[in-house]
Amino acid sequence: MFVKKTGILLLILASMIISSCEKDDICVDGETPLLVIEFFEFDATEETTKAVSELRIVGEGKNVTVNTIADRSDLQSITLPLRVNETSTTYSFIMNSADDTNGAETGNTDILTFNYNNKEVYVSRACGFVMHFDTLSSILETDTENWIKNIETTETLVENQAVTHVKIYH
Amino acid sequence: MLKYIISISFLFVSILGVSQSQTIDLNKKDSVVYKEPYGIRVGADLSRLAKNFYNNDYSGFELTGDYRITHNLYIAAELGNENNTRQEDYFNFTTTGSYLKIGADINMYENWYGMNNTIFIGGRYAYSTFSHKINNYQIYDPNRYWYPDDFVEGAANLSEFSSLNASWLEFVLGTKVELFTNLYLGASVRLGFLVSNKSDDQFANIWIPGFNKVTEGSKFGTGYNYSISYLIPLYKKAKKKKKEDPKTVNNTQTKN
Repeated sequence: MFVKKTGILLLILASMIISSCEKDDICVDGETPLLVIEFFEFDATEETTKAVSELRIVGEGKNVTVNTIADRSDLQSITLPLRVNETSTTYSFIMNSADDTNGAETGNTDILTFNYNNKEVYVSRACGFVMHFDTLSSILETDTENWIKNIETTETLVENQAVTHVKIYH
Repeated sequence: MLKYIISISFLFVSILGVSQSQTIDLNKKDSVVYKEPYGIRVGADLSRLAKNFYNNDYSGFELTGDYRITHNLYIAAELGNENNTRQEDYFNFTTTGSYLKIGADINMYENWYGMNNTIFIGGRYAYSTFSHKINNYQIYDPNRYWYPDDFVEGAANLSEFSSLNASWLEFVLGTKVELFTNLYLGASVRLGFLVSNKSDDQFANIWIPGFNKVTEGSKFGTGYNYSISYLIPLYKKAKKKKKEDPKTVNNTQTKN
C-alpha cells in the first residue's frame, strides 16, 4: 500500500518537474527595436508613398554604409539602428548616390539627427534588458539644397518595429 | 418425569451460556508497551550550510523544526535567509531575502519496535520577502552597425528592486532517520506552486529565496534539503490501540 502510494506521488513529482521546463535558453521574446522610416511625396494632396532613388545611408563618423538596407537601391521604407549608449544618432541620407571617376560622392547628401531618451526594459531571462527610446525628435540640418522637404515624427516612442516612427517627405 | 427432564435441560443451557462468556485468551499480548517520544525537533539544512563554502555566489541558512502531535502527524516549519547571485546570459543579479514555511508532515512508515524513523509526505504554505539587485547587464541589441564587437554594457544605474514578496504551496516528500538517540538525519525533495508573486514593473522575480529558480511561463519550482536535527523530548506516549470489537474477537477465536 505504502509503496504504491509513494510510487504514484513520485510519478506526479517527476511529471511536474518535466512540465516546468522552459524555453529560456534562446532569446526569442524581443530585442532592441530599429527606427522605422517611410518616404512620402511632398507635393501630393493625398499621402502617397514615394521611393528614394539610389539611397545610401552612412552613420556619422562611420566609413561603412548602414547594414539594415540594401546600399544604393530605390527604397520606400527603411529601418535604422539607434545608438543605445547615446541620446542622439546622426545619419547622412544620400539620394541618387553615385561615384564620379575620382571616387567622390555625387549624390545629394542631407544630414538627419534623431534625439531621444533611453529607457532600459527587462524582457526575459534569456534576453535580459533591451533599449526602448522615447521622446523621439528628428532634426534636419539645412544646407543649400535639401532633398528632404519635411519630416514628421509620427511615433515618439520606439518600442517595436510594427509602426512607422518617422515620415520623410521629399 | 417429563417435567424433570425439561427442567434439567434448562439448567444445562444456562451453564453453557455462562461458560461462553468467559473464554480463556490463549494469545495474551505482551503487557510491556513501547512509549514513543514526543517533543520538538529542531535542526538546520546541511546543504545550504555547505553551499556557503563551495559556492562563492551564495550565503544562507535554513532552520528546520517540527512538533509531533499524534502517532504519525507532525507540525513542521522551515525558516531561512538566502543571498544568491546568478549569472544569466546578458545580466548578473543578486537576490537577498528571507522565507518562512509552515505546514504538516504525515509519517507513512510503520516503525519496528523501538524505532523512530519517518518517511513522510507533507505540505507547506511558504512566504518570502526579498529584493533583487542588478550587478551588471548588457543591452540586447543584435544590430552590429554602431557596436561591431559586442553588446553595450548597460550604463543606467538600475536601482535595487526591493519590497518584493511571493507565496507558494509546497509538496514535500522526505525522510528522517534516527542516527543516535534523539539525533536525526533527514532529506526531502520539494515541489512548489506559486500562489502570489509580486514583482517590480522593471524586473521579474526569476529567483525567489526558498523557492529557487522561477521558470518563465510556469508556476512550479523545485527544491531539496538535507537536515540534521535534534529532538527535545517533552513526554512519552504509547501508540493508541485500535478499539477492538468484542464480537469480532470472539468470532476469530471460535474459528481458530
